[in-house]
Amino acid sequence: MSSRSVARRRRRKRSPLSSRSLARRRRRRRSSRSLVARAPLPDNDDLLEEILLRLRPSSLPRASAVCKRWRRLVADPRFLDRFCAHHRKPPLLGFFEEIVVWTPMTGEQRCVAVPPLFKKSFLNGAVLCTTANKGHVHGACQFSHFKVVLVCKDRKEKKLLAFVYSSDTGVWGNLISIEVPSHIRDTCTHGSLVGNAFYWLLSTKDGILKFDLDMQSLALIKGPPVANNFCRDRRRIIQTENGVVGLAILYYPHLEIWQMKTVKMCTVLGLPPQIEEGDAKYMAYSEDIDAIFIYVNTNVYMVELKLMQSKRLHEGHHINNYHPFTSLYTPGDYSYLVFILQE
Amino acid sequence: MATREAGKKMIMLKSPDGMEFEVEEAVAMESQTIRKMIEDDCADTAILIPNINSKILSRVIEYCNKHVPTTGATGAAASDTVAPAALAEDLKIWDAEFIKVNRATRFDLIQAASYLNIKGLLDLTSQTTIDTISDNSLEEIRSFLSTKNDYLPEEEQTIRRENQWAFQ
Repeated sequence: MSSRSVARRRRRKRSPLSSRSLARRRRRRRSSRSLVARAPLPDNDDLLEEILLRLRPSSLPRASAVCKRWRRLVADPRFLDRFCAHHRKPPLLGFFEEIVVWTPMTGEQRCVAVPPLFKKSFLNGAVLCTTANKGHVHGACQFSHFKVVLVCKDRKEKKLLAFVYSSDTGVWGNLISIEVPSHIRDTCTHGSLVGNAFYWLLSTKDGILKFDLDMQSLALIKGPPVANNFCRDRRRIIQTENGVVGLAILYYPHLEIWQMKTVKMCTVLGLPPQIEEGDAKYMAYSEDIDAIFIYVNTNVYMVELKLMQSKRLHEGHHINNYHPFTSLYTPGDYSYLVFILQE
Repeated sequence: MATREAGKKMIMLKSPDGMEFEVEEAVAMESQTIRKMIEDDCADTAILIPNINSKILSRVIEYCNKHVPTTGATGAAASDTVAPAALAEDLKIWDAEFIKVNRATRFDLIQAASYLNIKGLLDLTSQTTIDTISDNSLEEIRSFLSTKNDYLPEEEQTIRRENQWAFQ
């Protein structure tokens, strides 16, 4: 084989393969093609990645529907980095070089360049009107005062990042960031403005990203448990009737609504915000009177949830088990607690 | 365009099935993997190319022979009068013929191109593979690549719904 190969090469040196002999060889190859059974893809992620890298950008979503392995590969941030580099231009919807703020009704447009850090990243964003004039009705907002909030994942640093652009100053504000676990990749839905904060559902099961416009801070919130990981097109963050953040999940024929509420428990208890770590825990809940029993700073408190009023019931250092019960004969009366004290 | 000169340094490539291929150093260095070995002085006598059988290795060498810049795209017939655009066009036609192989061979070539780090060959083989399947339906793609659909019907529907535009 060695000598043959050398011979062939030498032959070519003198005269390259004639087109006739080339055609003959191709015909042989073509005729043998039909004899070969379907070949499975190499069982090697690196090779499959090489092939998928050359997908047309618009074919990427289709590829993810082929099978789970393909989905895992094409959703990998490292792959997407390579995909971007290979195609030399942003391939996905959601990759911005420039943001166009557009009012469809008036056709008015304003272009805002995206900060360099945000290029080639998953983006989510929101525009809000900051017109503070008296008598201004949102819906007839002008381009004079608006803010753009952008969020993305910094893949190297395992951080979620936010930038705020203000039309008043014409510049992007400081970078706001929060460390997140590496499995949190991106935001997957449109943001919802509730109160003075934007909320985005994260692509993980129950994560919610909050951007507080007043505090200019990011926070991760754990949402209610969601049964199916694939149901992100059934979930939306909403403002519930009391103006608090909620999560609506469509389980046709039902709509499940979770409401989120944060209560300043220190105020309710009349205690300072700082207590020794580990010194606050749940004891029990009584459905009858809608009250919780909590243990804070070596004291047991009962908190009536409707009134948000608290009552200190007991002090103890080693309290483990609590069994609230209500007397059968005194409806509406306070609960009693059974304490099992351990010395 | 310079033609290949006599007396150039030769490199011996060995496939795991015991075949030896004597190639010009410049041709072998089309592979970045081999180039690194040569530059690091790890290629005194012969280089063993693991995992690439003689059949595939000979095809790879054929590709490198054609693509090595100094030989010219038309081999010994290359001359200064051949315009670069014509050379590129000629190479393209040659590539198109070269890649008319069965799928198993093409996958082997991808594997070889990846290991040997020959960008042009990796581009050619991978791009051809993806072009063959891109316009097919999901079912056809799975069948073509013997890939099993491991989505639950509901999961697949969700993915299709999320990216409906991509399926139209």
